[in-house]
Amino acid sequence: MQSQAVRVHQEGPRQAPNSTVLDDLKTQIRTIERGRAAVAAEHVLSLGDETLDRALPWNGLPGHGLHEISGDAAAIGFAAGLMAGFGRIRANGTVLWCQRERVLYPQGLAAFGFDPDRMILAHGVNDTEILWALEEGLRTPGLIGVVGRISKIPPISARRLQLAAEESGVMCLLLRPGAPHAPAGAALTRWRVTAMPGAPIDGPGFSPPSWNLELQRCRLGEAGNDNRRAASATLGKTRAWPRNWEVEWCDETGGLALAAGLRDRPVEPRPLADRIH
Amino acid sequence: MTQVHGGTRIAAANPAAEAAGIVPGQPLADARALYPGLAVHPAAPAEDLRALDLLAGACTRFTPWTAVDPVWGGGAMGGSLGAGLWLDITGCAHLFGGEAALLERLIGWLGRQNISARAGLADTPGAAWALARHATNDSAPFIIAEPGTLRRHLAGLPVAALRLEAAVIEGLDRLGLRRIGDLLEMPRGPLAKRFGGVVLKRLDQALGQADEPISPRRPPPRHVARLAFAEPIGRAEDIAAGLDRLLDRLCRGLEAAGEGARQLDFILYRADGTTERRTVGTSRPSRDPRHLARLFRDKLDGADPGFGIEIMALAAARTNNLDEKQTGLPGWTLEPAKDVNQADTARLVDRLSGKLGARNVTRVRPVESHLPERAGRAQSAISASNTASDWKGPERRPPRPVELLPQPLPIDVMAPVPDGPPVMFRWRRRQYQVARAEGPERIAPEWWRTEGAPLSRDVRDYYRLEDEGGKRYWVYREGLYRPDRPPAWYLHGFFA
Repeated sequence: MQSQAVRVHQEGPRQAPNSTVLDDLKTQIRTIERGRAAVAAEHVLSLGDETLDRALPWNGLPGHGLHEISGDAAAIGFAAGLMAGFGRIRANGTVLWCQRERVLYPQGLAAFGFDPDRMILAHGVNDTEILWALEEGLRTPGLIGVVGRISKIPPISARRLQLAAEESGVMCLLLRPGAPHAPAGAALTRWRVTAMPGAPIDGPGFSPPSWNLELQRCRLGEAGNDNRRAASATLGKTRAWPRNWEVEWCDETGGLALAAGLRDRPVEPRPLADRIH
Repeated sequence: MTQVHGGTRIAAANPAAEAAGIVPGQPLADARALYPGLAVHPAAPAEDLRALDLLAGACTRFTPWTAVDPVWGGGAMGGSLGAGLWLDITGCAHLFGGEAALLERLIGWLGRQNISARAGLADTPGAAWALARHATNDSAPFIIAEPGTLRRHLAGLPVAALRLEAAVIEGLDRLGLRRIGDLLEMPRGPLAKRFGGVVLKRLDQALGQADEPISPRRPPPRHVARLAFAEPIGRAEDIAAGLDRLLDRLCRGLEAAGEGARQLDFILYRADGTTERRTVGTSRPSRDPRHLARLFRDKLDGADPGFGIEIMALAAARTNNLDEKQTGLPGWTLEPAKDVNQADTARLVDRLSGKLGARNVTRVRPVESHLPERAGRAQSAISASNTASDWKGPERRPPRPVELLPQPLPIDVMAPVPDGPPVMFRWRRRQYQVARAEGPERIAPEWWRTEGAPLSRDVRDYYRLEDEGGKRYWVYREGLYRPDRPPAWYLHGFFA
């Protein structure tokens, strides 16, 4: 690949073909990296900001697998926003939301673009029932996705959910209250969403929901694996991405927007690898 | 067996007592004089009726159309003659090899449960009633009046067979009219003048000249499949296999009628005469045997075969029209993708409702209410309509939390101004510094609603609070500010 890049450089000052070839190469690299997880573009959801999308090997969040989100109310908002996004991609779909507690408030979810009319709420009495309901949902091709709030999940169950999600192309979001000690290993991505003080705004009212979004793990990606991060960092600037983003919910786009630099307060120290560049 | 009726009288007597000369309607004192050792129990008509209802349910093994005869004659008619069951065997007799064979099976089956029964079969309910009670005896427990022979059969029976009151029977007796045949020869005018319409009405009903509708216990389903076993079965696999066969047959019937089942009843008739009923519902009409079998699978777990199951029946209790499914040419889809999605989703709802309970699988509908806890109504997803509704609420309405506590939690609050927002609050023994607050949003109680106890009848002032970590809460102060009483604060929800 290196030699090819050199050859391109020697070809001369013409800009247009130059960038096309580069794009082709980038696509090639991306395809190799994705491996069997290659997904059609229509099944990938943009998170709303290019920086976020590029951090994921799918160039966005794929709708065909298991994703784990831990956190409190912020995680619910994030999940509702993701489901709303996929709802725009897949019209006529339904979302199955399973949990034990009867606390979900549809009017609040609607603020994230989520349509409560397209939600079926299932209340189980224990985790076993919720896992069963989730799997039933994942085997129903007409669904946009399933959301399950569950405190403990055995590794085998997580694997089953991931396989079912991969097969049917239905997205599975696992909401984990608090910070789970035993994360679902089979998940494609694992996020932690925590609330963050909103940016100061003029006049009355609150800023849009602001979260600290942490990508803790990403299959086929480098998050949480410093060796691979370091190795890939040598490939180029785009490979080294932070695992933490400060984001805001953006009503207009129905996605996230980076909120960094909007406020004057101490920012969490970045991992060393990020600061080297 | 006794009953209070202007004194204690015999309501019913068993064969041994009848042999001793004790008859229903006799005063208890007379009966005791005849046989001092008489065992007496109070009559319980309500329980008798309940037992009859159970029996009527068990009799659905012969016909889906059964009813309890509501005539409960104390007095002259005699308790043992008053009660009965109606069975409409129209279209069922051939399943048992003819009317006589059906009645023989019926009497024999009841006899094995120590129920001595008499049966009359005729073109009209009135005639059947008369024949069962006045034309049968122990050696011939049932009688069939072939079509066209009603008059001949009825003519020889006493007038009591017309379901008349004791006073009317007495009056007829005084005129020398003792048999139905005597009445048939009478001109109608004088009879009506003397006894009112009742004698003629009963006569016409018995002869089929007047209608007599009888409501069955349950409306008979139009789609029924039935499977009888040579020997009682008990294994769960056998029951499941039997169900598959029934579903196959039922679904073919539904398809021919262009209908789909919304509710299915699966009835197991055990060898000891008891029944077990399992019901499943579907959110969309269905006639897919595999889908319906899956719905029953969880329901059959607790089915107890008892001494064995003799008969299984499957009935579509509720059906809806279901159009013929069009099968497309290869490479062409005639069904829009939307319908496929909805059918899949409906099947999912059915399975979830079957296992988790229809109450626990819901769709939420907005309700126009200012009270946040009233603004959504959960409807069972199996029956909820799938229509679009307005969730946004009025323009510029303050935002709502993603989680709303079903029961607001009391919190301790420090507020510098009595009717201002809090600067600090304590919840679950933790202290939260309020970094930002927004409000109040005043929500007044809906005084015009009285049903259901509202959480409070006071005005609520809602505030959105943000603590130092950025978490956002929805809290409210209850009631208007009063100097003599510290205000009560509650935590009601969480924002994302």
